[in-house]
Amino acid sequence: MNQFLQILVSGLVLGAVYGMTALGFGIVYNATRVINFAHGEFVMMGGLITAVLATNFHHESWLAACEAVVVVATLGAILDRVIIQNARRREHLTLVMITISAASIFRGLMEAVVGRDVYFTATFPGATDLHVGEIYISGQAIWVVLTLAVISTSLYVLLHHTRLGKGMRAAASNERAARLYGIDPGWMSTVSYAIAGGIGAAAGAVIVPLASGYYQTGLYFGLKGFAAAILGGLGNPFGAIVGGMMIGVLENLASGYVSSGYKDSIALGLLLVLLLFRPSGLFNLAEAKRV
Amino acid sequence: MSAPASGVSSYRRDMIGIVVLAAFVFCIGSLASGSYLKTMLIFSMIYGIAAIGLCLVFGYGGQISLCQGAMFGLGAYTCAALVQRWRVDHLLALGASIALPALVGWLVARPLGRLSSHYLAMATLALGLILSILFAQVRTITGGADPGVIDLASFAPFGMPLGTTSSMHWVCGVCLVVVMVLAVNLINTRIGRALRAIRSGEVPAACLGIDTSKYKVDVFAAASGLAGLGGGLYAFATRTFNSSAFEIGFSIDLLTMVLIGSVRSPWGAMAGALVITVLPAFLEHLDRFRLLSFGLLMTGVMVFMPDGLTSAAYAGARRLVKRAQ
Repeated sequence: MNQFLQILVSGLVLGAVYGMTALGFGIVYNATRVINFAHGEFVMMGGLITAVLATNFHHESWLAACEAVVVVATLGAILDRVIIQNARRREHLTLVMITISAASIFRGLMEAVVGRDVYFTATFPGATDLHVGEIYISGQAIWVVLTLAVISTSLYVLLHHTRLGKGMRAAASNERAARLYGIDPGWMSTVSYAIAGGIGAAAGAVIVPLASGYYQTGLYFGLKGFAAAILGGLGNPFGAIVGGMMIGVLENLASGYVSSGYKDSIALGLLLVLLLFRPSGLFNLAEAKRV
Repeated sequence: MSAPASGVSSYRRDMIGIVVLAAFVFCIGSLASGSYLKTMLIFSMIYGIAAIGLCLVFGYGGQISLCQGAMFGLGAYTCAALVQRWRVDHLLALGASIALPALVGWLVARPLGRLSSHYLAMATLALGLILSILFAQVRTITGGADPGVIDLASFAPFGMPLGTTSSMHWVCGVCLVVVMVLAVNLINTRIGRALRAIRSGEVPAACLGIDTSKYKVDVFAAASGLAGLGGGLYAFATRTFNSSAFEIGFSIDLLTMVLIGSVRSPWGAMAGALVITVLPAFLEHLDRFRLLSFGLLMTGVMVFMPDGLTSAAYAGARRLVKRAQ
């Protein structure tokens, strides 16, 4: 029983990171209807930049994390402003492929700037490790959960109670009408990429002390985050977080009780089955066709 | 009944292209002596075969598939296992490396066919990942990531030794030409037109009496079979490989080949395969800037030439000709 609870707890922590990653997929999808395949690289860069600043430049880890968030959010905005919005044909598939090749740019950028080393970093200060009964919760896990809580709350406030957020939602639901009300959809799309970059970087930064910073981990985060986003129904923030948690828990259960080599295939196999029976995700009632 | 004129002329153009391709393969095979050049071309042709398959399912059928690389791996392992464990004749093993992926593709295509756009992308991605995890884990058959398949016998169908680099060039060249002939004939007939109709709209296509799910299943199976053929040839060409060759990045590479070349033509897929295979070798001396420059180049092509390199080159050549006149 204790073992089960322990697996559950660490699965939820990992799932919180996947959930944050999925949130970023959802934000960009809602604003532009494009799946940003470079999103996993945002998470990778957030973690890697934090780790490099903390180990090589001896910044406080929370400061390093904040710097990483700013840098990656800027890179996200650049991706949209400089690359995606200059695409000669704004067709869905072309845009998706641009994000796939942009992922190589980000990975290559990190390889060129940081190098091919694997970085490890100390846990964030402030939170102490907890022992609840026999279950061990690392202090970093508390940071992860706190970050998720802060991010999802501020995202909710942003989207529903600020001018900018309302503008983003308006541009997403009807570009032309939004334009008539003086909202610039291009600007909204840039903002959504920046926010997705920032959230992704934050997710990467809080998980990096429990994992490691390396320029090739982006694909892995991207896949899990994408899976979580689909599972929860794309563009549904609540679903994204729950989907992320489910994938994290499933993955940990599979590696705890079956074999760590097969953990991804079990989680993905279940996802495949779910897709076939509920293609619109667990929490969306029906696939809303965009006309 | 006469076919529309444009169809005939594009078919004739494709046939001329095939003659040029065959001549090119023949010239390189008989004149060139550099084994480095031939090795590069062998891999370009092998990836080209898999990319042509992807072009059919994706460019014509409009079904995005991110498990083509895994089907390629399935073909490679089928071939290796049959040759190493059961000492099956090599040509038969190559045949099986087409048949098994095609069968798997046929089996999964019907349930997958219910999905569309990013859900289909996710499902094929998951399928590809599951297969590549199996390649790494079922070590008794595949050897996993380490040691993998080692020292596969060199290609010798019916005892004919065809394992050297220059013979493999002939083998792969013949396979590529045959695949190209099949692809060109497929897309210029009823099947190709049906697929194009499905791509532009499934409901209207169904209203015209096209059995959309049957065509989607068939083209997916055919693409998987072509990927398997590529994989079988790959197994004989490298003879030593491990599961890391067929990870998800490879499926994305194949997709990039199709898109860089041209989505709407198997010629583009072939050209894309050549570019993506040869380009990294040219960027080799850039060392740690290699990936960055590769990404910048690819993104540049995607942003400025959305129809792919071959279409851009074609349009550019036409403009030049017009200016000269």
